[in-house]
Parts: sequence; structure tokens; C-alpha cells
Amino acid sequence: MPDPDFVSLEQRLLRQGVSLAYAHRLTLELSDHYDDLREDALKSGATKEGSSSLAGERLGTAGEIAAAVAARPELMSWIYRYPQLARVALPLAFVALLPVAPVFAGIEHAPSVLRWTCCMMLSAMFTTVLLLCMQLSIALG
Amino acid sequence: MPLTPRYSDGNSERDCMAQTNPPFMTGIPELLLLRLLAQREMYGYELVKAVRLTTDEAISLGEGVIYPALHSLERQGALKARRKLVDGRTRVYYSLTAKGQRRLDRLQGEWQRIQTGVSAALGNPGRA
Repeated sequence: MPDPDFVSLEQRLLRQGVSLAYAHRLTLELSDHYDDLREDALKSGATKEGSSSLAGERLGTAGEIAAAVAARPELMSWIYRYPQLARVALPLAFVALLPVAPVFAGIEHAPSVLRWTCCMMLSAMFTTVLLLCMQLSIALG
Repeated sequence: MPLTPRYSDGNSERDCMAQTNPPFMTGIPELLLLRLLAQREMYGYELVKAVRLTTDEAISLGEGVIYPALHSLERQGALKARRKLVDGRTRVYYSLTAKGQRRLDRLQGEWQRIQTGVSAALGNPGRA
């Protein structure tokens, strides 16, 4: 029996409406539990394949675990628990964040923004020096 | 985003049963978990083994299913969880809070009331 696919379980939980942090925590704990089950089975004399099979059976299927999570609404993300509130709050939050989005984008791409600013300043300085030289040549000449 | 209500799946018979007697139908794993965690803090695997041991394997909880139950109790403030490094592995230990203790006392009381009632009915069925 292959090892349980905890990544698929996590994705399934996310599709089901649990938050990313919770899905990650649950799969980590399940993965630890699976390792403990396998270790105990190996200690009691099971083969490697036998221990994996036994651990998988005892842990339960992804469907059973997903159903147990679905049966507890408090484990769902707030968007699924309060859909009406989410319908109002999320668009408002996006509108509020829109003006500061360029700032966040700037922070995200700080090296590029810095390079662009330096280039602009250099070109401005070059233009200023050029204009000053032209002005001097007119004045002196 | 789901549009249907989340707290009822339209199964009125089950809903009714859950309302009238929730500890009998759904509270046993919760009662056992709270009872064991009242003694000392434990992590998930330890808890499953303790349930099997203390109930003489009469009650065997679905091992993967225990975590949503624990997390639900934690969200409700009955348990608190903390990460602890043990033998090079990080374990999530659960312990009972004051709210959890009150919940355990209430569930124990309800369970004992049901147990007494069922035992009386089974011991003396002709009385009804």
C-alpha cells in the first residue's frame, strides 16, 4: 500500500473550504500520526509494506477525514462560515486596498524600483549638467 | 462561495436527535478526550492509544478523525495546544482549559444521567 497522499488531502480540504493554515496543520499532524503508527508496527515485527498498510488502514481514508472536517463548521474558514459577511467585506477590503496597492507592489519589487529611480536621477543630473554647459557657453560666448 | 445554510443538511430526523440528546449520539469521543486530557497533556497518537487502553478496546476512535475533534474543541476554547520538541520531533500537545473542565463536568453529569436511565430500563424492562 503506498503512503497516504497528504498533499492531495490538503488540496481536498482547501477545496472544501478550510483555511490554508488549518489544512496545513491537520495534514502535518496526520503525517506525524502515520509515522508513529508505522514505527510501532515495525517495532512489533511487521514488514515495511505491512507497517505502511496497517498505518494507512488505522489512519482512515482521505474521504473519512475530509468528512470529519466537513461535519465541523467551526473548522471552516470564515468566508465559508459567514458567506454574507464575506460578500460585503471582501469587495470593501479590495476597494480600500486599491490606493495602497502600488506601495505594496513597490515593496515587492524594491530592487527594480530602486534601479529605475537611480537611472531616472542619473539621466536628470546628466540633462541638468548638459543644460548648464549650454547656458554657460551662451553666457560666455 | 456556498449558498446553502451550513448548520443543517436538511436531515431533520438527525437534527432532532442531535438536539434532544447530543451527548448520547455524538458526545462520547469528546467526553473521552476531555477526560483523558484532564489527567495530563497528550498528543494525538498518545490520546488514541490511551482511549484504546482505558476502554479495553471497547471504543476505538477513527485515528485520523480524532484531529478534527481535537481542533474543534480547541477552537471552542475547551483545549489549548502547544508545540513541544520531544526526541527530536515536534509534537502538538493538547491540554484542558478551565472552560474544557466545565464542559467535561457537564458532559460527565449528562452521561451518568443517561447511563443510570438506560441501566434502569435494561434491568427492569417490564416496568415500562
